[in-house]
Amino acid sequence: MSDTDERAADAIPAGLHEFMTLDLMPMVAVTASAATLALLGSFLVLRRQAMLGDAMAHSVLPGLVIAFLLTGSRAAGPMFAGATAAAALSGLAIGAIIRHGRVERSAAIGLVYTTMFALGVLLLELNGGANVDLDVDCVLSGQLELMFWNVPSTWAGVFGEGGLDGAPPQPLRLVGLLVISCVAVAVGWPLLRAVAFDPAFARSRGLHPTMVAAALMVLTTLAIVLSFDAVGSILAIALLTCPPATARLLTDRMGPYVMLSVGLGAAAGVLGYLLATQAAPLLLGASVDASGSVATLSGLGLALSAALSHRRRGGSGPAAARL
Amino acid sequence: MFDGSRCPIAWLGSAPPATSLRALPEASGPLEAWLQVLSFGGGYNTNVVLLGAILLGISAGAVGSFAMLKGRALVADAISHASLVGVGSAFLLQAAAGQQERSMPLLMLGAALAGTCAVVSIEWITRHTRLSAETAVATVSSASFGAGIVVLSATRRVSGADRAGLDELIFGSTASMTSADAMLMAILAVAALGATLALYRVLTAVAFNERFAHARGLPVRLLDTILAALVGAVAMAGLQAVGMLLVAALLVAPAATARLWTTRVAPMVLVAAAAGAGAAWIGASLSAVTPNAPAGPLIILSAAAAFLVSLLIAPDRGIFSGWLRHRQVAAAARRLAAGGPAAAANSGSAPTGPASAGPASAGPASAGPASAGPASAGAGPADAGPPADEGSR
Repeated sequence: MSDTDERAADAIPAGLHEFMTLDLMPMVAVTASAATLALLGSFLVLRRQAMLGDAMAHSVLPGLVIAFLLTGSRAAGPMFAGATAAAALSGLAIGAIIRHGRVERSAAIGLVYTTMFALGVLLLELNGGANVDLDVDCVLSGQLELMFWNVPSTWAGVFGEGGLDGAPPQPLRLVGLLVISCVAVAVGWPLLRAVAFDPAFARSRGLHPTMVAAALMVLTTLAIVLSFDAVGSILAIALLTCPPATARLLTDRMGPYVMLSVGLGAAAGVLGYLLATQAAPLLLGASVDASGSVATLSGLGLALSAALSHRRRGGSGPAAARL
Repeated sequence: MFDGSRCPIAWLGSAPPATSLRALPEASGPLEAWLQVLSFGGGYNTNVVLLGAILLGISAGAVGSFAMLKGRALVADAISHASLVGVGSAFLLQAAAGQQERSMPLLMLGAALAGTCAVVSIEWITRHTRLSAETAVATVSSASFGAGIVVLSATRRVSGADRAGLDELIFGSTASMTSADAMLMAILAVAALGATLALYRVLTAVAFNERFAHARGLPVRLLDTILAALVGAVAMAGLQAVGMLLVAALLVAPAATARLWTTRVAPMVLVAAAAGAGAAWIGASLSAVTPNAPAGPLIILSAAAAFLVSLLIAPDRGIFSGWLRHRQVAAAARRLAAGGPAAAANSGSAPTGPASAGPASAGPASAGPASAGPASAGAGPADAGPPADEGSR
């Protein structure tokens, strides 16, 4: 076999090459982000804190904007510091308002996160003319469209040394975070289970429910900040809450629940992305927003499983098991 | 590596800067310009919009008070997030019918339909599955917002139709409002306010003791639906001025502020209406004189500032008065230690603040069915409504 034949056999077909250039990295990003958010969100939903995920995803915005305005770049470090500070501040504020103002919990959460979000939007808009790197659209739907990959023309180039050099950083970061989160959950599994079902018992056994909750919160904040690029901070809420809620309706056991939630999140990511970018142009003549379609799909999954579980149970579930 | 690039879809970036209510020529500085707009000296259109916003604030305060007492503050959040689907679909239908100009009533109708669907879904999920109301609200509002983003991205492909203002519904912009838009907002707001005042007594009864209200023959579920409809009406009215992402806060913040100042319903509704009106007045006028500043965030931040100040200085529930009380109790304890039981008998009970006309610490007692007498149908102590954690101090 001659050298040219070998190269031809090794070359990536043109159609696939185009898909890899335009769509592969966004798809990886949205899927990794969806799976990570679904994994971490499953513990939020299990601890009846779905609204807290909502609150965090909104309230990190001023932290992100301030970090961006101070450093002038979208580097992950300062953004994460800003987001963590904003999330911690809102947590403290919610606690203080519930304790001192004796306002009911959901109202306190609603008050704090909308205020933080308003602050973030205002800061963004006031600086909108000067800084175009971070604007309101990115907050709402991320910037999947920008993650194209400068793919080498051969498979050897892709899998060889430096094959990922032309790849955008966000998908790789998100995959890294997914791996870290999975490892953290696997390692802390007995702890997480004890804390989720019986915090008092866990405390009596010398485990630290507060520490576990704080560690989960840090991971969740990190996931929200990194997902910011992929799906936007608002649609992140759909992925934090919908796949876990769907899984919760389908199973009663914690292990399958968490795995199902991750699977549903990842499936929504892949299918939603393909629907928006590949199927929509055929059906509607133009592609639609991919992150919106992922969120919609996760919501439809919940609707379907709610209808199914309602039928199967022939009525309402046990009131005591409400989450 | 793509850090220098811009979002490809520039909704708000492509819109003209929000300065159509721009600073007036005769005003010498930004402060003067603001004061001029604040005192209704900013021209006809500005004044109509400002007045509409104030009416919206009053109505949001009153409706929000009942929504909060009933523990349904976040339903507004779901309604407003879901309205994006309705607005986008209405716009697409309108474009498909060949109509070039966007009609605000039609968009609002779409938003109202979508909001209704959201409320019904939340009710259904809470009633028929094991998921909690909180999870239901979070999932429905975020997923429907995702659907809204999809629909909105589809409207971008519609050529020829006038998309102006569609994006501004997300964060609100008083700058692009015509006086007709403002009139529509004012009419909706006043209608919601009127209905709330007309139903004041029954709404109070249902908010405090649903079982008692049911026993008295009140249609509890119907009233629940009416309250949701009122919340929806305020959300629709505020769609343009405050924007769909923040209009829920306009229902929550003034009501929460009012709850810090009083434990009775009538004063609470009044204070909430005043706080809402003030926030709308200050926020909308600030937005009118500041380039690039959307009205929604400014109105919400004004409302939040009012809440923060109240949290610090409100009598009885404020942090400052709590600190004073703590000091008094500590002083009493010292006297007790020094002077024996006689001194303690006089100063042992912690003095409550001046506004606690009702028994502020009687939460557990008044929440029980024992106090379900006719008094609580009128204006019982507000502590009995939501599960406020009494005695946490």
